[in-house]
Amino acid sequence: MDDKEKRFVDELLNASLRRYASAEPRPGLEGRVMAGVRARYERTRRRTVWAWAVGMAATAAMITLLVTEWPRHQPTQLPVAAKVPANVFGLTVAKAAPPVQPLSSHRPARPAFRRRVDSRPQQFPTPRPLSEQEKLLLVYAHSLEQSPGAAAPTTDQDFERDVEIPPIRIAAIKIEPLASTENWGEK
Amino acid sequence: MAVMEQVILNEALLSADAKNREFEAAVREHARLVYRVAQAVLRNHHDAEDAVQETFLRYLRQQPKWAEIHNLHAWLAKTAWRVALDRLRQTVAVSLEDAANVVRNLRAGGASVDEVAADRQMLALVERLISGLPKELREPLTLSTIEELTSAEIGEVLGIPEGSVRERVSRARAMLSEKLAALMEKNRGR
Repeated sequence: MDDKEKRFVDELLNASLRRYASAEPRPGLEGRVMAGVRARYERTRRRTVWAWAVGMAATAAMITLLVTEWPRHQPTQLPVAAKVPANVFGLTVAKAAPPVQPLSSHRPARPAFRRRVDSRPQQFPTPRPLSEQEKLLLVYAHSLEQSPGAAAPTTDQDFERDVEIPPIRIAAIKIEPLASTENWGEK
Repeated sequence: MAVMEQVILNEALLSADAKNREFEAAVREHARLVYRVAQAVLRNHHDAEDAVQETFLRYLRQQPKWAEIHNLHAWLAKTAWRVALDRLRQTVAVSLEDAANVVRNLRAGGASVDEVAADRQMLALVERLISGLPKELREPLTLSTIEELTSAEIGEVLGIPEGSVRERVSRARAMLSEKLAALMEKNRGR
């Protein structure tokens, strides 16, 4: 290849490369770009806002559901005071309290959640049958009630009343004589 | 209280308006450059315009960080370059021999260098030759054809030093010249 040909190739390459990126956009490129970009930007922003709204609503619904439907322990009325005998000395024995019905929930039981079983006794202290001593004490108390004269002292005056004490009899003392002391020195 | 709210609202509206005007100014000033970068890669008018929109959309999304963009010219060129590369499709293959033959005929017919360069076949031939270059030479050469970009800005787009840009562009041109000369010689021998 001669110099002329070489020069032609170089000039052709330069001219071609100049044209390579000299393409002019169609008129109104700026307007089209602005309109297109704003439309796409708004679309994206609206989608984001919707996504946030839906997410927040779902979260709120979940929280509400948890707060309202979470299985809670229902407070029960402990029959403690009612079950204690009112007067011990009056010896009235408390009857066993009727079983306390747990407060029924207004909502139907849902199978999804297992309610916790309350293992605590419904009456405190737990009623138990009387022991032998308690039964004897009860019988004694009834017998006292039926014999007013033999009533147990209940006031301080009963305790302070003079008691007649019969004289004490002491039997005569017999002192037997000691045995002979002559042999003492021999021992 | 209501006055305070009104002041805050006015400031927000003014700020939004200022940002809007800034964006419009950026589009007016740089749309052509962005288009050329996209066109240099994509070689298709419609694809290039789509790439321009995508580039400015990315710029708009970067609104909170606009203050951090020191060289908007280079930033937009870099973004357009990446967008265009993402959208790049395989171009229709052109027969090198056919294109070179057309060029040869034009020259034989007495056409000037500019007339030959303006021919569509010649443009297709150059595109084929450039696409055949190694990537590290093709990219600086493609960007160097955009007259608005300096060597420093090309270096910023590609992440290489300015000296490397010049050296690679020079090597790429030498390779293209050799290939073109070989093609012309081959066709002349027929």
